[in-house]
Amino acid sequence: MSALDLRPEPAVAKAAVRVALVGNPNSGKTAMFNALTGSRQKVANYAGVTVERKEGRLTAPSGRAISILDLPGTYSLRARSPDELVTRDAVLGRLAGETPPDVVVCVADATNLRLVLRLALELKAVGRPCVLALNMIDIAERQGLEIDAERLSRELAMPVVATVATRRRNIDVLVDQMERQAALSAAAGADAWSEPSAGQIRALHREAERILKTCVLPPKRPDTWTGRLDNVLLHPVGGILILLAVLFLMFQAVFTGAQPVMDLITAGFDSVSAAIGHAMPDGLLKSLICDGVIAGVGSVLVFLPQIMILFLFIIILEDVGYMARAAFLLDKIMGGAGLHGRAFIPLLSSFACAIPGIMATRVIDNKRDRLTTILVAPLMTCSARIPIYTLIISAFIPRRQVLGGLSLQGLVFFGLYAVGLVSALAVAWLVRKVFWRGLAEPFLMELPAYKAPDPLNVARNVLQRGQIFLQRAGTIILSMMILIWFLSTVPGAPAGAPGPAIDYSFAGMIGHAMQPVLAPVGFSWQMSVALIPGMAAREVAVGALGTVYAVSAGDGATGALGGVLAHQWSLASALAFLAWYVFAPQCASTLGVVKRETNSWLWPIVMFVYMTALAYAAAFATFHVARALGGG
Amino acid sequence: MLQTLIVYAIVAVAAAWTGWSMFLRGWLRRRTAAKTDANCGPDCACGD
Repeated sequence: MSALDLRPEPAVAKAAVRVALVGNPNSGKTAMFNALTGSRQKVANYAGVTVERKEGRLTAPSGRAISILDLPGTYSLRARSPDELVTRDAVLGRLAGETPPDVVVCVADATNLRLVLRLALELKAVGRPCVLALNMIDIAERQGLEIDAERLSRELAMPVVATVATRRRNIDVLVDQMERQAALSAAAGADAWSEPSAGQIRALHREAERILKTCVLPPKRPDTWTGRLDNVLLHPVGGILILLAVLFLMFQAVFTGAQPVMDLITAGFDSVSAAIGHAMPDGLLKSLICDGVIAGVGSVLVFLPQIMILFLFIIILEDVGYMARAAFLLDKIMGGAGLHGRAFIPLLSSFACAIPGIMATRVIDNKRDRLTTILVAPLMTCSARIPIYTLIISAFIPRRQVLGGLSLQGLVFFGLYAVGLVSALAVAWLVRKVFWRGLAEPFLMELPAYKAPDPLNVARNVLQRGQIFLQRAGTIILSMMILIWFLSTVPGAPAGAPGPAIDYSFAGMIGHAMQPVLAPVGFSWQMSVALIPGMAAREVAVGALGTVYAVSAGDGATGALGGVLAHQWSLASALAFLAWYVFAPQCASTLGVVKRETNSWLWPIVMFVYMTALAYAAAFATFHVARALGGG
Repeated sequence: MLQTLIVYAIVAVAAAWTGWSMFLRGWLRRRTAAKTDANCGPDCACGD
């Protein structure tokens, strides 16, 4: 298939061209954006990933600058959710601070044209020059679909370009069409759009069906692979069991696969610390480097392999197309808890970090559904909790096999994730039952065809995750560790003081002041101190513990933090600390985003209060039950 | 004495950086966004 232009070639103007990418969710818009601009944005395989404004630039072969705006996925300009409204307003030129686009590129999944044709007809009615990009044409060809692009172009009265964004196929043709169409922009009439009625939408749908029948021939031998796989993977019982097995395997791999690299990193930091300890004279500077920087930052950096393995699994599952199936499988369970099916995407994003998860709730149009999802999103286990979980599990849970070869540590890790998920569902159910009664709205989503993961995309995204983690370790975690070291060192102990020097430091004073409140849940003053910097980011608590215990030990004689904790903490206290971090709202940035997204201080306060109460109650119960069972 | 000065300077830089990255940067961004776009609110997708 080739690009088609139905209009005479216009004279090329040299002003920058503004292009908006519009399309159904999961049609490859983000991949197209990357292919056009070279930007490295996350490419996901489930609906609704694009919820933020993304803009990039490129220079056409003619030398003309083109600015590309990647808009949130939508099925219609008859928008309902906040992200669909953004798309509609951007296309119509009504978005505050946004220049109207000269050209609209409608990105279509060539394997599934039914809904996008209706959108293309709606876009055509707006009056701006449009180009239809038939993306993923390689998959459509493999499936045996025959698309008559020439006829489709005539029917829609817009150029049609067959593309494969991930392989940059025909991207140059698409850019050429953008330039040609841009020249028509000035001639295009004023926007003649008004919100279509339900009857008009039905008429557009009928027209789209007619075009589909005339331009697309179904495969002579239909590809049944996706159907056959879905029969197994979407089975109401078998599908859930397979999903649990996949998640379980993922958490097992996080523990068993990462250990050798973690041991190497620990050994590396220990040898650097020892070398500096020998080379430098005793004093404040040596203590700052060994006890503050190396012990603090090192104890966080050691978790890099686990974070990368976890994201390797998540990104592959997204790329393959399994995440959309997971959303489908969990929809019934989430609906039972009163959550909208669209909440799956924000909740899944919250496994990485609650901040993008909360921002992704913009895909939910009902305000109550959206607020419920925002309130429970931080209960999902974010990646910042991984260092805390793995530190405590490695220190207190024996490294042995149970139930015929399963790692006990991996089992506990899986359990913590499950507790986060179950508690999120329970809180959502409670909120819907007690505060916001009413029926949940139905959830419609399209399941993409299975496809082999793109190794480059997977590698790029995993590296990006690692880079983000390292960046945090090198900036905010490093600066916080220096401050924690300072608070743990100054003022020094008075001459002849009986206790360790840290008892007399600012950190000691703060910890001792907090301890009466946290003593009932089994926290020592050192644990109490670690909670304060943990508000900046949860993983900082691990670094803070590393620094506090390194300063306590003195002379840089730290050893691995896990070993130190196993010696100093009781099992009951350690489990209480884990329980605290399952629920505690230990992240100031998340509370800030909730304030911004709800435009009110009420909801971050509600979130902080209910999560702190849950954390305290869970830690209290865990501590006392564990002690009663002999773990004290 | 020099060592103490160096350490205190490092701590001061760390404190300034923490304050900047945790509070000031976000506040400044929000302030600029509020000035340039009066409609930037809960449904705005500008990312600020």
